Amino acid sequence: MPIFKSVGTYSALMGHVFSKPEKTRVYFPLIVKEMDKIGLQSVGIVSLLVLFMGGVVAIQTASNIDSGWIPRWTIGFTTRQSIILEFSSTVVCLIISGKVGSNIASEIGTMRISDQIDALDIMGINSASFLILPKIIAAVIILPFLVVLAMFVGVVGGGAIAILSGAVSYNDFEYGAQYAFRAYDIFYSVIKTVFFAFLMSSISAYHGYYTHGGALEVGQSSTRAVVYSIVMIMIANFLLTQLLLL
Amino acid sequence: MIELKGIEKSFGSLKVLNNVSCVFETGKVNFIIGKSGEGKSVLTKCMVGLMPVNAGTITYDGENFINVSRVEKKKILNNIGMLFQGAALFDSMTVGENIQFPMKMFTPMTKKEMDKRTDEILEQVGLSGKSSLFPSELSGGMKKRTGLARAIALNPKYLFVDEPNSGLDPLTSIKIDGLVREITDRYNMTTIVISHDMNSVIEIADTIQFMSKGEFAWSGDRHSILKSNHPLLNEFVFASQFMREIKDKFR
Repeated sequence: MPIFKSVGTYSALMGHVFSKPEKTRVYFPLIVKEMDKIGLQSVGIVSLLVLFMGGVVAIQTASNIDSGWIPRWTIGFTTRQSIILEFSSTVVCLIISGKVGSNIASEIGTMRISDQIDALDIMGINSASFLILPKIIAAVIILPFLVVLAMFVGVVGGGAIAILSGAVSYNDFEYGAQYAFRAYDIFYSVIKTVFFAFLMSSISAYHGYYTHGGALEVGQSSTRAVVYSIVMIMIANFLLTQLLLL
Repeated sequence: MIELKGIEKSFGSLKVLNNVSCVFETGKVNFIIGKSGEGKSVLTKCMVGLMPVNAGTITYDGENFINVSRVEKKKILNNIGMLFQGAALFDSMTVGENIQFPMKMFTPMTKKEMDKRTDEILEQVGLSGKSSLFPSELSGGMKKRTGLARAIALNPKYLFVDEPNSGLDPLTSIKIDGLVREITDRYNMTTIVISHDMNSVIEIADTIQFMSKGEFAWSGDRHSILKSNHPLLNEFVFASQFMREIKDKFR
């Protein structure tokens, strides 16, 4: 079955990726460069999206509280929990899969169809490790920072939008945002992000590395990279939530 | 010297290489010619380890290249340079960085030493002062010359050149041919050129292997190729009216 072939090929590729690199010091500048591309260049888009996500969660919660039995500070509490537990990690990683995953697949795919990967192999360089390992390491290191930033922007920005729109008072939102806070929730979200970062970067690189053909196939690999990354992130999200929260 | 013995390669039921045996000698420009789809590229990929063979042996100066450990294979690969049809330059690197890349990966050279070596090679291929340009800023001929410069950066013993003149004008083609000849002579390399271009063959080939249906159907040199009566070879070499007229005059 094709799925078993894909899993086998992916596993074999990861074996090559994590084998001993040729010259370790050559990898450090590559990792830094990838951290910039994957993380720092995504700060703007992630902040913007999470800011409005926080605002929408706060306003939707406010609009659904009709009963006088439910206190208004629930808006702050719900916004914080939604952002920290789910939106900051899962949704941010889905956004990054679309932006960075397609970029990784098309970059490596273009290198494949223009013989650049063959050129590396003929030089005696482990092309899989040289091209993919810095991307995986960079994603695993930088995405948790991006997610923590997203938590801050989402809760603070969401609160600001809700307060300015009159959906909740400052005091209620602040009380709710601090109510029953558990540091473990942040840890849970960061752990999820590490797994998502690995899945997103490695799956995208896999699709790029095994591109055959021309420009059309590079586009198809890029699309497949995003689709499979998103599916695997959602499956991993379910499994990790079972493991870490129950 | 590169020696092939009984090389066979199939894709499923399709046999692409059938018992290919040959010796490519040191210090010579060895051409492999033939129609498209006859197995030239597959043979080259097998020779440089990009594809596994189904049977046969490949030796580089007596050292086995098939079924050896990664370390032993890497030792041989470090002595191979290859110019690809499209040059295969790394887009994100400048000309200078492309040439320095193998030096960075495999030698303990300092930045100063690498810069000096880069300048030497660039001068040799006629690209002095172009070190800071990116591949996207180069013409087809300049890309090929940069590819050739990168291929010889570590003074390899074996040079593979795939379709060096495809997409180039006749004058640039002659320059690239001249460079391949000069580099082979200067460094005493075993050079293997895969080409369709009969001008190149007549210009610089020392030995010629004609490939047909996955086998070497004819071998000789640039003098004997014009006199050969091999029907498939004649069909390939004298494909154009112009070449047929030359043949008639030559006879």
